[in-house]
Amino acid sequence: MADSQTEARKRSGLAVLLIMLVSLLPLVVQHGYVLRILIMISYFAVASYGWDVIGGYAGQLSLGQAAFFSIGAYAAASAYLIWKLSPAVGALAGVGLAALLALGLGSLVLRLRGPYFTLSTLAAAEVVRILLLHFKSITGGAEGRVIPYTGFNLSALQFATDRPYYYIAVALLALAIWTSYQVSRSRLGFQLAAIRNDEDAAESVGINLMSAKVKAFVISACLTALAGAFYVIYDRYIDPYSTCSSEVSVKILLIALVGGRRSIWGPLLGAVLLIPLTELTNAYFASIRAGASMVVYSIILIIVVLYAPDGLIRVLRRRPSRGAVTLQPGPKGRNSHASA
Amino acid sequence: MSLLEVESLCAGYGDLTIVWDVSLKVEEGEIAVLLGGNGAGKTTLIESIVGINPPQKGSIRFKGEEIQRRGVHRMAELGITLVPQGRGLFGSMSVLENLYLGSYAPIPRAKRAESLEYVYSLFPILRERKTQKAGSLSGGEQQMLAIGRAIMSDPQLLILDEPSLGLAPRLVETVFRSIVEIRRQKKIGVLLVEQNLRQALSVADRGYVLESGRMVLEGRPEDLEANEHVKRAYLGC
Repeated sequence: MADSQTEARKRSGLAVLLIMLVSLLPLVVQHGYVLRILIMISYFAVASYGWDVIGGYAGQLSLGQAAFFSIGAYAAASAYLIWKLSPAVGALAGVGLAALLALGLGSLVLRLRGPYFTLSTLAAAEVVRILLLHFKSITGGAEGRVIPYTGFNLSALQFATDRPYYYIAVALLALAIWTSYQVSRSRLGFQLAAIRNDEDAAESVGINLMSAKVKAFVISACLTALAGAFYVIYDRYIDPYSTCSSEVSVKILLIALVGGRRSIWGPLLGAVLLIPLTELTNAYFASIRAGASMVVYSIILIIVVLYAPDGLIRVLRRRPSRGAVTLQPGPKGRNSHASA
Repeated sequence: MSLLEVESLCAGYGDLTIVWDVSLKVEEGEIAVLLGGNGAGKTTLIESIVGINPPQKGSIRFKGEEIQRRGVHRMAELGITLVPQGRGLFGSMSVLENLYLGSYAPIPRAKRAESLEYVYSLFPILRERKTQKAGSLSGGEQQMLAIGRAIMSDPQLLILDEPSLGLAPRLVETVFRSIVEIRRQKKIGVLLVEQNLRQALSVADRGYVLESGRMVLEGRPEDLEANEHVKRAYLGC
């Protein structure tokens, strides 16, 4: 008993320390660019926590998170630019829309397994981008839209400095981490773990596959859309390629993969490593060739898959992942077995 | 009224039909054995019965009720539990977690503690291994766990898809003995899918032989064993 009490005290002490550190950080960080990177880290971590619910816990590799990211982003931007609403309202609407899309799309494509599901999500994101390009009157088409800065305005979420954005980002990050934690210890989390291990077996013990997978997909979409919405509110610029390219989907997935799937801290660690790296590669290599950062990403992915297939967080903790036995989709997928 | 009654069932994948016009039944408290070589359509037939791969034609009745298109996850509630080929364990979960997932449906969940004791009495090794990950068990232990998990759902019909696959002969005997034991104590129906003809027939009350997707023989096990065709094709004499 005494042991668990000191353990709990140690933990809450650590949490308080962490909160203090995080809230004081912008006072220490004077450099605006560094603060900007911290904000980006938070938003992409949130999107990646979203991916982790479907891609990590449920084991269904989604390559279409950019679709949800853009829906959140465009909802926030359009609410403000077209309907003169607070972008925060738009963000909420975007989360709702993303949830609806995940429900509809998920009910269709979550019937597919393994790579077939992955490919459909990839296609879905492509469709969303084409739609965004097509409906110019609302989205601004390929030129995108700029949200003009009109001075401090709380309802428009426009601030003179980056500090308020930082606190918003950190709050959303906390929400994402909390969601991930709740999913991991919930009944749904247990169902998803069974599904990840063996879908047929999970179904034969009585788990409603579609219901559990769709729920996970919806939660995943909500978090990713939330990230997209606040990313645009901060960045004040939006176009279909920067929010809805496969590059965005890959980035979101890669952050979780590198940091560690199904982990409370994995996606955050991934974002802390990859986002500054993107900035560096963009700064140093972009002038050589467009897409140089993708080359760097690929190299990192190869290294991580070879030497830390469970993500770097587990290298730090030196503890095997709960899912280590079945990282790959099993040979028992419906589409891959032809045995009689 | 039989426990399970399959009538003129056709099953396959997409436009391809693999199992043609198959009928079989399993009575309460009886072990029925479905025999056949590789590629005969045994697994296709079983997956069709439990709804993993819905049938193209025919009827499936459980206790007189049509159960087609009920959804696989409803089968456990109805009282039909499949031990899939290759065991279908949740490898990253502990033995105990696997067993608990067996009693996932509401009715078996109420009897969880009792079922768990029964499974432990059947396979004492599982009690020793309860915190160990299922993926780290030996082949025989995994098969015991797969059967144990099925028992946790308190089924009325237990379907086992090649439980002897990849096991040493002595373990095959242990597994078969446990199936007979479960049938005797729980009075449930068992549909046992096997390639291991001689041993399967020795525990069976009824046998079916499936060849190239068609039911070529059915009858009492001693008759099947004496059948010239079976002898030549499966027993090597």
